[in-house]
Amino acid sequence: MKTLWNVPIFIMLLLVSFDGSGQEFKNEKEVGISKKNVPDEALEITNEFDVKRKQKWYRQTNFVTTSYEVKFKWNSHFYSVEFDTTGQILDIEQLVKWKEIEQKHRKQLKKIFENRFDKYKLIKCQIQYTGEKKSLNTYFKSSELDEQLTIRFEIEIEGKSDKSWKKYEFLVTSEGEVERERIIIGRSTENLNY
Amino acid sequence: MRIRLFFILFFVSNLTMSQDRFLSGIFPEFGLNAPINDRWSYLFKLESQNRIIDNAAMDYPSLRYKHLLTDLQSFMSVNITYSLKGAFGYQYRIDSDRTDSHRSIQQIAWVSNFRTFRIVSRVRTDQTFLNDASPEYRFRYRAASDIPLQGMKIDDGEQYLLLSNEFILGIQSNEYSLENRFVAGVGHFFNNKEKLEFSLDYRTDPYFSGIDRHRLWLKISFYWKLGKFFSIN
Repeated sequence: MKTLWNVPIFIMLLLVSFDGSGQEFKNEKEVGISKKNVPDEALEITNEFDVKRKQKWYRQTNFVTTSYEVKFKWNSHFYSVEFDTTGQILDIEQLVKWKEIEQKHRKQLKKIFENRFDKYKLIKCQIQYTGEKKSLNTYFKSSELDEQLTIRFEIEIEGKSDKSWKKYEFLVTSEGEVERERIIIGRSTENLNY
Repeated sequence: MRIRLFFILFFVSNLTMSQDRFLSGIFPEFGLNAPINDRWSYLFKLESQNRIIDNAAMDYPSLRYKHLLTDLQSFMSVNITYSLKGAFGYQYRIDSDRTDSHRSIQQIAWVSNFRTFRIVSRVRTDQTFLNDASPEYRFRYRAASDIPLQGMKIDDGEQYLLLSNEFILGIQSNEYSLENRFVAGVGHFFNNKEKLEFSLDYRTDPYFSGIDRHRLWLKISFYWKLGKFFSIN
């Protein structure tokens, strides 16, 4: 019965996520939560992490699905780990500087953005790790990267095309394929500009 | 709590017990942003300074309500890049103590993004023309930020902390002046079209001959953004 209710909501989301040009918009909401509101399974997994820094929990929704995210600093990088509602890890995201991305991937990404935009500016680079639950669960125990994990790049940029500037989020595979391109609706700045 | 109360009392008593001019009141603001296309937008702003407390007549602050001035501002803004905006504007000031004035304004503002907040830097120049005095020219720099109070970013229905500081260097009849404006408050982000802010705006001037005027305004600001007029460039 619950699944049936989700169908019209999903159709509505599809309608509001795309405009006439067929472009996808990023539409997510994130709220800080306390540990007691986090699925037990997720807490059990994070308790095993070799992370000493403070962990902050968030509930994230795209208005169809809900997930839980924990954010912390580990080995000089900011990480966010996403869990589903049953507490299983979905992915790990590592915030990196552009220069920290391997040169061959930087070349691939640069080529994508140069072909897509007249001008662009990098805002945020993240490496996304997905794959076997076991490999993800043990990511924060070893400093060596498990080769079983799949790497993607989530890049936020400001790009100019057709004489107009917009903010975008790209998800690109390690082979240089664009898996997703979304427009980020930035918060208006008139209260800070005037 | 006691420490906080001590600082508030210390701050207020310092202002009110000194011989400096101190005035305080309500400062409502309304901003209407009407995007014309993807690059250009028009902004109308109405703001009004209403004095409630003043120590000019007595040695201590007393209740003396007076409407001091109302500013009507119009701006045309252009997106130079996504995070860099230029604007030029005109202001008409209705002043209850002197003749009304005209002001031309030019500004450039850019956004610097950090992990959990952003800072908007604004460089503004303005020229004020009065019937009964020489023109005044000012150079201003302001850094302003809205910091999320729930989560890592400000979502619909959430609150944010508002902080800003501005330095204003002015010249009129070969005399220089420097003013500082510090604003702290909270905002409610209804959605990307509507924002409501409550803040304290503390203004001190002039700096060159020693601060002798303190103005503390309770600002109530509402910003409303309309939909785009045209979808073509």
